[in-house]
Amino acid sequence: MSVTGQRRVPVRLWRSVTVRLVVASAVLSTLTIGVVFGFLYWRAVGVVEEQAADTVASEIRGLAEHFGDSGLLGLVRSVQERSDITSEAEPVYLIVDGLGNYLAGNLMAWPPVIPPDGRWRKVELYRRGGGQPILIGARAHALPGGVRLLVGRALDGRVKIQDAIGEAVLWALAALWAMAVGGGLLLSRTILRRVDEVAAINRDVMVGDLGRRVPVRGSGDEFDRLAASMNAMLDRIEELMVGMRTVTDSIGHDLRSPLTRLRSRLERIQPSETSPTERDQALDDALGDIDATLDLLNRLLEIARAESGLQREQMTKIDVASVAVDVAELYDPTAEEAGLSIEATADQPVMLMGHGELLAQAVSNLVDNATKYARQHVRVEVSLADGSVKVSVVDDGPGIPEEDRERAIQRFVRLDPSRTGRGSGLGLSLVAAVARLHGGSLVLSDAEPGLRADMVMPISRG
Amino acid sequence: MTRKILIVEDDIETAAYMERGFVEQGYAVDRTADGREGLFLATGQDYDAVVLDRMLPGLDGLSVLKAVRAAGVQTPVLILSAMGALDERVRGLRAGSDDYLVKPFAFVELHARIDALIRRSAAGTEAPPSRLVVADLELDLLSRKVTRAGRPIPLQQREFQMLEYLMRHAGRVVTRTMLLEGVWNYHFDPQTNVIDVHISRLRQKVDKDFDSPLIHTVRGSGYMLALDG
Repeated sequence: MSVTGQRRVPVRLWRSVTVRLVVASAVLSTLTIGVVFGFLYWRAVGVVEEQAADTVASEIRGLAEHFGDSGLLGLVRSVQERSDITSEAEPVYLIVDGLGNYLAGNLMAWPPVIPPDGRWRKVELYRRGGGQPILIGARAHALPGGVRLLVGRALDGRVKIQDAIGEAVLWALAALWAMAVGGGLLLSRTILRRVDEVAAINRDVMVGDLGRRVPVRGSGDEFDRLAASMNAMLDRIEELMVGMRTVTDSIGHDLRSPLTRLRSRLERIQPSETSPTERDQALDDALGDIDATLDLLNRLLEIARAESGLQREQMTKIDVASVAVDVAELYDPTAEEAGLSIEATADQPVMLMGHGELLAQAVSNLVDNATKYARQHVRVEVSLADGSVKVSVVDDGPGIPEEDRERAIQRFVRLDPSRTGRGSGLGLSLVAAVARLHGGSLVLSDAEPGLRADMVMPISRG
Repeated sequence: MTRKILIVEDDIETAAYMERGFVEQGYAVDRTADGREGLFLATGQDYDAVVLDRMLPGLDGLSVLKAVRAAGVQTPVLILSAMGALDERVRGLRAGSDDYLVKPFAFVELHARIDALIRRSAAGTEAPPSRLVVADLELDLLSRKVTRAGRPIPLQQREFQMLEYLMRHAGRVVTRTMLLEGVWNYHFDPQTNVIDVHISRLRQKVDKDFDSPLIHTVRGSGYMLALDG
C-alpha cells in the first residue's frame, strides 16, 4: 500500500461501511440500555413504594390498637415520640380531633386530599418546621370520637435510585462506546487492508500490468471469492487482449501486402504510357485485390466475433445433423465437378444449443478445405458420444503432418506456401473459434490417408 | 414511370456512388445525409424504396425506420450498414426493414436487391400466385412440378427452390449472395463459388434441350432468368 493511501485512512474510515455499521450498532445499543435501565428504575421505585405502603399500613394498625388500649393521650404521646426520631425513612405523622385541630405529629395541617379511608395516596406536603414541600406516600385512618390519624413516608428513595441507575447507565455507555469504536476500528482496518490490496492490484492492471492477480488466501471467505472472480475476469481480459494484439499484428501484416500490391498496380497506370487494354487489366486486377482484402477483413471480423462469445445470446436449439447435411449438399455439385464424391452420414437429428449460422459456416470451411485436397472422397459425419456431438469432415488427400496440425489452426497460417493463391489461412481458425464458442474444440488427426477434422462440442449446455 | 428512391447516407462518397448508379439505371434519386431530414422525406413523399444507413447524424437509422413504420408508411426499406453480424441484421429486420446489406457492397448487389424489393411491394397487393410462368417455363408451387413446353422437368428440392427464386425475380439480376440468402438462408460467403455450379446444373435441366436459353449469366453480378438476356 502506498504512503498516500495510509494518510487517507481517517477520511475513508468515516466513509467506510464498517464504521457506519459500528455507529449504527452503538446507537442501537444505547437505546437498548435506555430501555433496560428505564424498566429497572420503574420496577425499583415500585418495590420501594410498596414496601413503604406496607410499613405504613402496619404502623396504622399498631397505633389504632394503642389508641384502643391507652386512649387519645397515649396515642398522642406515642406519635410525638415517633415524630421526633429522624430516621432514614423520614416518617410523617399527624393526629387531629373531630374539628380538625392539630393534636400531635410533624405535619402542618391535615391535607384535604386524603380522606381517612386507609388507602395509599401520594401527595406533596409541607412538614412542620421544614421549608420545602416533599413527596410523601400516606394512609389516613378514622378513630372513634372523630379523631383522625395520618401516617406516611417520604418517598425520596426514588431520587437515590435515580442517581444510582443514572451512574450505572453512564458507565455502561462508556464501556459500550469504547468497545464499539475500538472493535469497529480494528474490524474496518482489517477489511480496508484487503480492499486496498484489491484496489492496488486494480491500479496496476489499469496502468498496464495485465499479469497482476489478487492473492487468494484459501480461507474461502467473501474476499477470497471476490479475488477468485476478479482473477477469472483478469484472465479473460488478458486472453482477449493477447488475442486482439495477435489479430491487429496479423491484420497489419496481412493487409500490408495486398495494399502495397494495389498501390504499385495503380501507380503503374500512366495514361500516357499504358494502352487502354493494359489499363483495363490493371484496374480489374486492382478491383480483385480490393475484393480479396475486404474478404480477408470480413473473415477476421467473423473470427473475432465468434471468439468474443457475444453471439452466445443468439444460440437456439438446432439440429447439427441437418446443418451438416445441408452444407454437404451445397458442396455436392462442386465436388462432383472436381471428380469427388461427398457422402454425408447422419442417422438421427442431434440437437444442440448452438449458433446455426456460425456452425454452418464452420462446416462449410471444413468441407471447402476437404474438397480442395481430397483425391476421391469427402465424408461428413455427425455422431454422438460421451455427451458430445462430433461433426467430422474426412478427406483422402495428403493430410497434415502431426507436427503441423497445431499450427494449421492458427490464424494466417498456410501450410503449403505454393498455394498462396487461394485461401486466406483463416478457414481452420474460424472453425476452431466456432467450436470454442460452443464449449468444444477442433481436433485434427490422420485419416490414413487424409485429414480428419473433428469439431467436438458438448451437448449438455443450456 | 420513373421509380423514385430515397438515399439516407451520411458518407458523401458512398451516397454519390449510389446516386450515380441509380440515376444511370433510370431512377429518380433524393439524397440526404441527416437522419431527421430522412425521416421527414420518407414520411412526406412517395418513394418506391428507401436506402437507409444505420449510423447517421441527427437520428440513427433504426430510429428513423421505427418512426417511418410508426407513421404507417410501408415503403420498402433496405438497411445499409457496416454492422454485419447476424444479431445486427435481426435488429434491423425487427425494426421493420425489408432487406439488409452489409458494407462494403457492390452497386450491382444493391441494385438487384432494391429492384427485388420494389417488385415485391408492387406485387404485394395481389394474392400469392400458385404457379409461376416465364415464357414456356411453368412452375407449380402446389404440386411442386416444373414443365417446359409441356415437358416435365424433374428437379431436386434445392434446384426447385433456386428456380422458384429466379422466376420470382424474372427479368431482374439475382446475385449469388441473394441466392445464398434466399434459398439456403446462409449469410456467409462460402470460399468457393458453389452457387455457379448449382446454377450450371439447373441450366442443364432447364435449358439444355431447348432452343432459347432462359437462365443467363450477368457478368460481374449474377444471374437472370428471362426469355432473352
